[in-house]
Amino acid sequence: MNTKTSSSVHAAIWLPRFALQAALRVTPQSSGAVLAVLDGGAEPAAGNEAGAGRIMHANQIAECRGIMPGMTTSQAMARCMKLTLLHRMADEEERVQQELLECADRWTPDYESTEPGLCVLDLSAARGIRQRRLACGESIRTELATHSLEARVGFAGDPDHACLAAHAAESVLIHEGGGSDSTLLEKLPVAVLHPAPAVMEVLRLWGVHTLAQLAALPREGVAARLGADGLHAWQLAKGGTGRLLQRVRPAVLFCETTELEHPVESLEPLLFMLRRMLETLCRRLAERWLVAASEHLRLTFEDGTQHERLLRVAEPTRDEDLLLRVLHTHLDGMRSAAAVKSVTLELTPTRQSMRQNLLFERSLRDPQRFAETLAQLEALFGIGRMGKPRLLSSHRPDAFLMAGFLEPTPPAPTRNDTPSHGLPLCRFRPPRTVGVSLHQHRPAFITTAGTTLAITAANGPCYLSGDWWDRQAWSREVWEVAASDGALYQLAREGSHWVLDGVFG
Amino acid sequence: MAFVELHARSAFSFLRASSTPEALLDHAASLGMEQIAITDRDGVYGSARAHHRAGEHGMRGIVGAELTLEDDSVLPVLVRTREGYQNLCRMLTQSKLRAAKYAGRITWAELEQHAQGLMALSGDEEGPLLGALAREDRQTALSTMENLVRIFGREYAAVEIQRHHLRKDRLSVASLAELAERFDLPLVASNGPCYAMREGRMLLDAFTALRHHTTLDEAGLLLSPNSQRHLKGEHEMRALFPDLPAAVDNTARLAERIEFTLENLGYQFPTYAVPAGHDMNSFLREASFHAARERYGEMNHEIKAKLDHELRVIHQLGFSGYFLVIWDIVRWCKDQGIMVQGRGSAANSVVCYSLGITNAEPIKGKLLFERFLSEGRDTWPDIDLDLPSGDRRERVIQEMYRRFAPHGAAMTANVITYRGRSALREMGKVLGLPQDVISRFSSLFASGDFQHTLGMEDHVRRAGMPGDHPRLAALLRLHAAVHGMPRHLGQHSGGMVLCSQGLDTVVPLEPASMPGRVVVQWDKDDCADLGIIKVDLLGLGMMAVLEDTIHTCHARGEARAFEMHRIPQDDPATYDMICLADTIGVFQIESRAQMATLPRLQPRKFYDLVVAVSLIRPGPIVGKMVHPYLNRHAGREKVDYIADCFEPILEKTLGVPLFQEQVLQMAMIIAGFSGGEAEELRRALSFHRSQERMDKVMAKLRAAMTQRSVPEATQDRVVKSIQSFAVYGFPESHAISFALLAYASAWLRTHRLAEFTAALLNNQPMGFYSSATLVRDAKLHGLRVLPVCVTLSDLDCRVDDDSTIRLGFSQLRGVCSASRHLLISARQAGPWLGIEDFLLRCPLPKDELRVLAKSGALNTLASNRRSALWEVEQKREADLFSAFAKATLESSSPLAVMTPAERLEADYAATSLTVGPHPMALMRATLPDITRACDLPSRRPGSRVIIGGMVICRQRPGTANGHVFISLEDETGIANAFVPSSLFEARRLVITQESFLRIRGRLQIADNVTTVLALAIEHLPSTTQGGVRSHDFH
Repeated sequence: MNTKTSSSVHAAIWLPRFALQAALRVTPQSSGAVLAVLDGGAEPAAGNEAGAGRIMHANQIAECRGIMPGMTTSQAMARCMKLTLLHRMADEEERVQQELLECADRWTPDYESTEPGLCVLDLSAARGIRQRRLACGESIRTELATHSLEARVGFAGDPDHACLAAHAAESVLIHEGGGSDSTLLEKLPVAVLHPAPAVMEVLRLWGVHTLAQLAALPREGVAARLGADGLHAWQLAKGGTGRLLQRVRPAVLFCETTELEHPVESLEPLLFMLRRMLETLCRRLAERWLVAASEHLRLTFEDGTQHERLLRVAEPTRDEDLLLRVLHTHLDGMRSAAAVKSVTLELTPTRQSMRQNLLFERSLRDPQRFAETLAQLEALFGIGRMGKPRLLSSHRPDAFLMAGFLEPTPPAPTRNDTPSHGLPLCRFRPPRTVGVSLHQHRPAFITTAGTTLAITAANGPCYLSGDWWDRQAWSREVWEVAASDGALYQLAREGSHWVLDGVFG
Repeated sequence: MAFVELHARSAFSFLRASSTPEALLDHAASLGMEQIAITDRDGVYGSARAHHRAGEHGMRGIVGAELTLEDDSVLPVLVRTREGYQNLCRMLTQSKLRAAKYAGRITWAELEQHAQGLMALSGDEEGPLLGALAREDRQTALSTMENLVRIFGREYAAVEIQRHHLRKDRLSVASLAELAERFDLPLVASNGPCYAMREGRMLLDAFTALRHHTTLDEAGLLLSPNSQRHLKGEHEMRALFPDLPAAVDNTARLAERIEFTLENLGYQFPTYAVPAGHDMNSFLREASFHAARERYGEMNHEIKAKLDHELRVIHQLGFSGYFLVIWDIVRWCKDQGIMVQGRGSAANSVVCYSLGITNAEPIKGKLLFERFLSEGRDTWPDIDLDLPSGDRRERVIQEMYRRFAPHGAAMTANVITYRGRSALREMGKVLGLPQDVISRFSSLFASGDFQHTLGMEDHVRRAGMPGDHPRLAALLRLHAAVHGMPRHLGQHSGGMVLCSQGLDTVVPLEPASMPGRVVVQWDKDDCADLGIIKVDLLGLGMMAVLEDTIHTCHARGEARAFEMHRIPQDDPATYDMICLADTIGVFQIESRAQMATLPRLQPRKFYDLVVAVSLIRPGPIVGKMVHPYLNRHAGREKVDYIADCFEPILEKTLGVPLFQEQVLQMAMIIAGFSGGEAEELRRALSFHRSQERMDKVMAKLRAAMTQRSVPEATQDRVVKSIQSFAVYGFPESHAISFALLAYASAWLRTHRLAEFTAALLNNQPMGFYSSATLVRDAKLHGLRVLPVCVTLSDLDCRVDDDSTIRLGFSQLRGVCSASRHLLISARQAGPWLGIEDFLLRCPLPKDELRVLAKSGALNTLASNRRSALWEVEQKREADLFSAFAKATLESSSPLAVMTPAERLEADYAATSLTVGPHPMALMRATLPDITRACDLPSRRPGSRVIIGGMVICRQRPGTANGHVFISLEDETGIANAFVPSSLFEARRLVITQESFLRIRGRLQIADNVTTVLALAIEHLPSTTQGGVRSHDFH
């Protein structure tokens, strides 16, 4: 194997058993546990049965028990009944990758996110790095260890060799070309090159398992048989292609955090601070011709609690006053037990709206005002208690969820159990709890707030029930009654309780 | 007037209802209903069962169906007359046969054409009327009413009203009542039951979700709004319709106009066209005597008398045509060179033997004709025809379709029901359980349906579902509810029904999934119940093997040629081999249980084989009759006849009732059962579906015995011995037919090993052992098995000489039939000049070339398998210059030659077998503590041993109380282990998932049978990734 010019220094940071490490951060296990993470999601889509539920990564103890990637859960459990199976955590994997890249970013701006759990850094520009490679590698490992991540670091003259060195490393491996480290690299399985599945299958049939075996094959022979994919793998095994890094362009962060020396107890200083933060953030937005679609506010209090809230902006904008007003409205009704210790404000950037309004669709005259009003209403009624009700596809009457005003509304499900004729029902929200006396299994009297109404006529009962497979199983017995006060009510029994659903007419 | 439910759906409406017809009938009876109509969706699937159960309750089952019309609306119709039934069947058949499965629709025009004898209701919310009203499409509603009145007349059409305690009921009933009045049609009340009792709603919801390929969470408004669609009695219905009492009364009025039940189905077996001057009786007589003279050679008085007697009974019962038709089928098979052998109780008949339908000689075997046919019997006799499996059987089936076309022949249905694994998989799916839990459950449940030692709840928990999972209770409930429910209709493996005047007027026909096959809507028990005769055309792999072996032997010359009927009887070498349980590949006596019995039984004559075949059956095993027989056979136990009066019957089986005939005779002697009662008992024995039938007959038997003062203890023994047959009754004649095949295959294995082994390999899969085990065993017996070779192999395995066979291309996994033929035809054009030439002239897909290369099939053209693998990867194009390339030598391969372990793995991957060393041979040096299979018999009984090898068989018979039998194969033979159920439960996944096992246990040797009682089981790390496919839990 040959390496690139002696002046370039590349480092690869590899997180072995990436998915397992990510899953373990969410559900930590004891050190001696036999662990494996399954491929696919926890609940794969219907019909996608083939690949789901196979072992993706197993920890070392599990591998010692003969549990290998690709096994079904049953095969793995047969090898070790004490095996703990974890599901992949996509969100956490993303976070881990982000932390990996942040770690790389601290060393150099020139790094690539090669694949999940692997990144390569070009450290050539770092002064004196050549002498400090071992220390640098250990330092990276230590830093990632603070994030509960086990990393291996490989140094080499080019990105591909650095990756291979990281795979061959026990902790940190510096590949200078030749010698014992080359032997280590040559013993690596061809799978570390991630060849195409078809190439991998042929290599397996050929008995080519290591990089050395692959590199020993004649170039023309490989190219004629395995095509471009095979040749690429061969070149990697032979010494890399001397490629350039696909650098990660640092995302411009529209986020500001202020740690307060003296905790803030009132709204005024907080707003003052927020305005300053907004000014900075809006300037950044303006530089990139962007606007803010929402504001993400996080307040950390002295007692360690946090308040987090995503505030949508009706019409994306970078108007500081407007954005502050939204924050102001939200904070106005807020009370907290402790003073604010730190403030984080993040704006979600978006391009200026390019939506064309429909001919007959009237857009809001003042969307910002509208959004502000909504925020005021929510502050008044409480989070999650304001929005647009969206009917759920269920037989449960009034089954709905609150959707945001600005979210598109799907068509409401058609219920065929409610007649389209007759008097409309004016619902009591929430339904009023009442006492009901029965006569011959039919409601005879309603008692509500100390008043008793005689029932002069009753229609029913109608029965509705559902969700019997879940803990939220429900059932209702519904009556339409004429009461002595002359009104027509809808009365319902839910379990042992009676409620007045509403009044007709 | 009493209320009659006229629109009930059973679970045979497949995913549209959740109670069996039996459950509906039982509940209807408990509600005091005297009649009920089962109207399944687009069929009469459940009507036969409903009819039978109705008979048991003294009720009447009204036949009907819901018809899916061209506009997707669903119209319920009821059958008034036989003509109406025939019309319904014909209409359903037409719509089913012209469309894809579940896509058949009936047009209004067809309905009009076939309306005679039918009566229509307007239907429920899926019906054309209410559907239109719900859409507020009054025009369609009016035209539907006009159609109903025009097609069925005011007398035979009615407007159906349903109330399910929903708000919409009020409006719909009012609209329907108004329309009924306007068109002067009666209103009829129905609850449109989809389940017998309220609890059925849960399963119906689950079925609805399944039908819409969704989960319960997502199904939303597709699910039922409440649990009101259960079967309701008169009291409840009158309470529902206090304002419309006439609608309830009208149900009975309508029912009164229905005269048809399935009792008068009008089925007729096909007649046989006889030559002029004959009727069917006289022709059968002439043909039988003529054939008897040929078959027996010399006609003595006994034969003549038997023939006379049988022909008289056949004549009297009107079955002559049936015998002639069967005879004709058999003759056609023989003319076509297709081996055929009748079995079942037909083998008791001299007529059948003479006509060549059966091969067991009944006079010598003292078989009683009365067990086959008797004067008091009115059901069709049972003749099953064994045929070589595969193409040859298919030819016979297609010939039947051709002969009785159109619509005169069809296969009987096989109702596939929800069982353990499928039940949980489907219910888990609708409940939205994680896939890995469901698949782990399936792995744990690797043994199909058998008596479990692990409760369902524990089972589900072990699969990874926590005990406090919010949906565990629902899963368990649904699993219990769905178990045994019909899932879909398959086709029976060989049961064919024939009819003279169009089967489509007797039962609706529909296309099977298999192209060219048509099935009826009833299964074989339903057909039998309704007196429809079924001819079983069963495919036996061994028949194909025998036929192939005979053919090969004839082709190889006089010295090897033989005829089936000239196989020497009582051949000592054959019996020696059988006594040693050296029977791998032999029909019926190759199973592990048989092998454990043969050394004890020491069969030395044909009847011993008949006993061996019958003894290792669920019946005798459950009845604990195996050991008494073996002990009595070995003289260790005194012969006991249960009751003295049984001595003449049970003498030949040493007091142990082994055959159905003996059981029936016992009932006749000790309980005074008449011929008819014995027949009832026989049907209960052969009717696999209903324990209830069996219980009824047993109660009758006990009552009769008590009346005759038979002691209680004797009664218990008689009942127990008879009940043991409920699982699988085995008539003696049937056993004789099987024993004939068993002996023939054993003789071939002894004297024509090469031809027999080649035929066995060519007819796989069959029997008990995989090709790998057959090859290993043949090699142990001195046969050379040569690998697949592109230069030397044929399509199938071929005999090279008396002790050598060459594997054929058919053994290769992953090379399609077209490619195999291409290979042969390209080779016929000239021998391969080299690998280059082969690859140019035989352009197979690359993955198939890889299979050839890795199996070693290209080794005559390349220096080794890797070299071939290197060559096949290179792209080649045939052009002008190719001719020069043909003779060039292969380029030198840079790849390392395969190690023995790699070769082994490649062998198993390419052919599922190896002609090289066994995997255990390669591992042997690293396993000093493991005793070889061949060394076990020489070890001290009771000593601790460790066995290890490739798992070739796992068995957990329902008769073994949860204990498991495992066979491990190594390079020297097979070691058998007995795993107690407790150990199985503890190591369930290791046992079911691992291909190689190491078993520590105690050696047990008794009567030359060696077994290891397993104490500990673990995975044995092997050099190969895979292994052979084990024969598991069948």
